[in-house]
Amino acid sequence: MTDQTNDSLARLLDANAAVLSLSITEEQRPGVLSYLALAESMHRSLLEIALSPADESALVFVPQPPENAHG
Amino acid sequence: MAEPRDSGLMFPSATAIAAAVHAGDQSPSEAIERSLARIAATDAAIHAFTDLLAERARRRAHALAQLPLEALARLPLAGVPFAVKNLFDIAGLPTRAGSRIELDRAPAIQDALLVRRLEAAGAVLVGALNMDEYAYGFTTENSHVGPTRNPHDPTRIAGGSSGGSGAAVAAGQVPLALGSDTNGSIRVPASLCGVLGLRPTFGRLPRTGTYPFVASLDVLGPLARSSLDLKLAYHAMLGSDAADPASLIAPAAPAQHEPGSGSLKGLRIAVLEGYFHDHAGDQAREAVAPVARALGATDHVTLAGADAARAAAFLITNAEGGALHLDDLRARADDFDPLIRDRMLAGALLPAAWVDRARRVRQRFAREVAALFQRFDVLLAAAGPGPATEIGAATMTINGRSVLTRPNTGLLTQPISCVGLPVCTVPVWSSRSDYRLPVGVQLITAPWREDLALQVAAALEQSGVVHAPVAAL
Repeated sequence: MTDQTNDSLARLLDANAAVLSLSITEEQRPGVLSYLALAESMHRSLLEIALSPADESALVFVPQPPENAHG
Repeated sequence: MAEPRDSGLMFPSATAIAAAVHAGDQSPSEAIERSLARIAATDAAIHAFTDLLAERARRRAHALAQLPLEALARLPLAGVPFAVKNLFDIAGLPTRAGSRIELDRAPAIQDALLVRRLEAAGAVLVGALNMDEYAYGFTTENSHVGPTRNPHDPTRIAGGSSGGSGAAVAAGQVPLALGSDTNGSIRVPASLCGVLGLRPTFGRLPRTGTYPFVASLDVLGPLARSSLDLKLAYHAMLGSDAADPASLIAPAAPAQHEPGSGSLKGLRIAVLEGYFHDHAGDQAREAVAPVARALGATDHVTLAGADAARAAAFLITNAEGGALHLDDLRARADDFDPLIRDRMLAGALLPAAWVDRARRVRQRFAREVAALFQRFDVLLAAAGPGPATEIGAATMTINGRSVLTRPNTGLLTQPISCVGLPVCTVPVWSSRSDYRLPVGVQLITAPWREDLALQVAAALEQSGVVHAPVAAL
């Protein structure tokens, strides 16, 4: 983990928390940053997997018939 | 050999209880009172239960006792006591999901669908079981209500997140419990508590009426002390439900490998090496060996991309979990269990592109695994790096390396659930005197082939390699 990555993650935390109206307290901040660093390392490992546009995500939307309506 | 033994008379299986009720040798009320007495005698030591439903169970057992024997004979689980992880809805109770926050919500209006299905088959719900908060953990060291303790060594964890489910079965409190498995939460407690657990294919059993963790990964399933009990419960719960779209992908009728056929002849079984060997400690590696020998499995194969699948599962879990709880993270973050709060907060902040890439890697890996199942029917791997660690242990040692306990306990289960595969986890006890506790082995099959996993588990029980004794408490 480089200083540059640490700085980037700290800026990511501040920017995304502000956009999400999520308060990160000083007590929470070190723990949150350590988990962001772990997630970043996981993401970095996935960059080694070559993907093509044909590699779709596993998300499949399921249309709902009238009988499944809420209420 | 350190494991305790029981005759099966003191702690009958679900199958034996139902058979005794069918024969008129035991009333459902007797079976329930026996379970309630065992809970009363042992739960202070292990703390598996968060909610006991004694009066509800007695009423239900009494109603069953009024039925004629012919009617009871049509109920495959007649009089069988069971309990569920406290993320299953139970009418009249708030669905805790291991949290303090959910206790402020309204009580559930009706039972979860799988609870209703088990009770329709004659089983009797006796209570709800401890878990990691929102299922985000592998240790059931719940900060709100305290840890569940391993019945075979109460100084150690029961595993998680369905730790109460594993402990209740291992303690002989109930012969059957339900749990959920997102990254290993049925397989890890089954492994550490020395019981069997069935993690069905993603989509096989509907999750209607349960508190979600990661909707794109979550499955529900049973834990028990025999493969026959798992099978009995599993069959009683089958069938899709429109309220859970994931369950609509399941084939209408599951493939069946009837137990009468018995033989494993023709089954192609291989041991997973590479990632699954490298991240397993000595005892875990040694647990796989007798299973492979008993099954005549001599092939060893590498599942390329397992480490990437684990990373993908981590990111998907972190992001979906954080997003699901965003409102409460904004309003009352400090009401979360300190063991998961900062992880949840981080998950809510992840860039969408990271998560989308993880989902694409997941799909890619699923196709690579599918290719392996063209060559093999069953794959074997340890269910965790080693046996149960001490409660509160921040680190553990795997092959001489000290690693964090909580993030690494699911190392060997996460790549498998990442692609939704069914697994029956079976406990293996070592004959070595320094290995006092069991380690589980995963019997992994292609999607929708739970029948094969159960069949192999039954063969291992018959061979004597696998057994699940009740703990001496």
